Amino acid sequence: MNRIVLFCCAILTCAFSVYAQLEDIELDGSNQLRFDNGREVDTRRAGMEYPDNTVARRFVENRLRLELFSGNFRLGGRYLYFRPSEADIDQFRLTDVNRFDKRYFEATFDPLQLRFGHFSDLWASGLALSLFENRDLYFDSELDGVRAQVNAGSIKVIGMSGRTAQGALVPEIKTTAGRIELSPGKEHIGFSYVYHDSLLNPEMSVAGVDWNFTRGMLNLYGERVWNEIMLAGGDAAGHATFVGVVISRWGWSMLAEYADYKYGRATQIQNPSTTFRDVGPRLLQGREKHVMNVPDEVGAQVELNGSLGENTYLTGHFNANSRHSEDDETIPLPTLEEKYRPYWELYANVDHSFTGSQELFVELGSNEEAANEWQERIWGQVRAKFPFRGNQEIEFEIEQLFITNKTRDDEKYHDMLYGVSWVPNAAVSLYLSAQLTDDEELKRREGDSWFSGEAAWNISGGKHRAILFYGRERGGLKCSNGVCRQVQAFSGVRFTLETSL
Amino acid sequence: MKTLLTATCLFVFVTAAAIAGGRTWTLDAVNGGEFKIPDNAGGKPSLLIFWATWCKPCKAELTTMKDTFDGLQKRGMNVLLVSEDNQKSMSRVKPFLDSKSFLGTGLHDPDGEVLKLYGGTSIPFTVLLDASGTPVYEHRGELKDPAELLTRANQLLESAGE
Repeated sequence: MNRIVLFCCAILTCAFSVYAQLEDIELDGSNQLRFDNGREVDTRRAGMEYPDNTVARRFVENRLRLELFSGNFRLGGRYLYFRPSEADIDQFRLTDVNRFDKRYFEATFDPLQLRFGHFSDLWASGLALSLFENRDLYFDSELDGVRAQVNAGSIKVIGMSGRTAQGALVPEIKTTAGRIELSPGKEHIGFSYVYHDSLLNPEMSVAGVDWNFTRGMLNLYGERVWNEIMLAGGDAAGHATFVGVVISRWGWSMLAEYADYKYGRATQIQNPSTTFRDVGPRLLQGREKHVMNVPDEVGAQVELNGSLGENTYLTGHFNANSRHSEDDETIPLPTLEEKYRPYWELYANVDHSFTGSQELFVELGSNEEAANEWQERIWGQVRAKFPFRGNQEIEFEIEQLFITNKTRDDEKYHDMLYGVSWVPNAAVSLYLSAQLTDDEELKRREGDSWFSGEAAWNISGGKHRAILFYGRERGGLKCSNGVCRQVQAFSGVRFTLETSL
Repeated sequence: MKTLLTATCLFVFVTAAAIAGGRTWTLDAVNGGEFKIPDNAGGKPSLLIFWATWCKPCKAELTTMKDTFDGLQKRGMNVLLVSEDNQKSMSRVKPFLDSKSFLGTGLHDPDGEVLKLYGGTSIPFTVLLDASGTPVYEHRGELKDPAELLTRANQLLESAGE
């Protein structure tokens, strides 16, 4: 409580005293309000059928961010008002919050930058250090501590120390880390060392090197780390490697990436680079999505992107990932054997703009995942946008997903999505969608149809934005910033208001 | 300890604030090197377009507004295409920008630090900075009508001595 009072005083004192002295002060702020009122599927009622397995969902969150800038100084904070839903309280042990939960101060005097308070950070491919917050997923690994950085020409040195916020998805971790980055020209090579002391997991140290070289049409990047986990019965060692190359020429690019992660045990590293597509068609996101197993995974992906003329953009992609097989040679490769939980995906899409501003997007793809269930999926997706009557726009969207479930004796089922959006002017957009399935198992759990409507309104020329959703939303794995959480099916009203102060 | 730190920061801030205003940041450029505000802005206004390769409305905005953004870059504005892709999808940024041949500068903001600095909570998000780095216009959501942006941009470019 004393800290809150002190911080409020700090904000007010700074604002008034500095305003009194200076003209070059900038006060900035924004606010985001989110509100749900409806029902959601309750994981505690797994034995019941829909809709008897639902529970009321009332959720309110308001985030007020205030910042004060003056020359080389920045002072800020976030006031969080949070009322979690009943199911989230039970599942994630969330509690009410009504306080300044973030505060930070930053001073920059070239070449030194000093920061106290909450901060996020990411080094190279995130194999050594990856800190970020995602309120949607109740995930927060931002450090509360101190960070110092020196930019001395082509040499950058970073040091930091602090602890993460404790939560259901993130245990409290004390982290101390250092990094040196050499950047002669456009290239860079970096050396990192990170030490994690968690209250729940064993202590761990990670040392690594990362690089990024660009020569003409060629871009080579990667990271290699070695980790050591301190266990009572003796230390365990692991390693992780991520390498990639992008070749760009004549409006075409080819990307090839390889990942070999063998940290050995669950680590503090949450979202290293992946060698598969994170965000795909909406129906696919609602199904069993591939989630990287950080302690043990090997994979590779190849992607070709390019333009045919000015109006056509093409993408072709293939990836394969699995746990390490026992037959691994010097360079481990993914396998398609079921016991190693393989995942592969192949897709191609084309995005074309016609004269007259009509747009067409078509994607065809197939993938296979042997995780909780073993599914083969084939999908097609079409979106077509037509401008009319001056500034108005209408877009039609169709997705069809065909699944063969090998875990259920090759049972076949079919998911469908039909959507239409209308943009009457630059400030307003409306979207209606219908999702259907003939999957009997899903029908038992959350029904077989999901109808919804969403209206978005840009206020004051886009300075503020309001979004109202009403209807049914399908459950599934929700992923953002590389972190995934199972979100339950919801029906009701959702309102979001983003404002600039 | 934290209370002491806060109090120290407060003291330092109040006693030392005597320097010209503005926000400073540095991001890695997609084509190598870094871009700093205000050092690399060259005294010109800047347009920040926050987007990501996984964001459908962002890519729609970049495609439909390409001529507008390229036109502002040609007229002397720093058009900065700030990607919010984290390390998982960061490698797709350069292929996308290269294939579309944007004139603006692609930047990586993988942990959203610069997005947060301007009060962005979601993307697409567009911010126009004057020559001193102060935000003078912002737009949340997909930019479909550039009229107001162009009005503000024209004022800035004229006052910058175009």
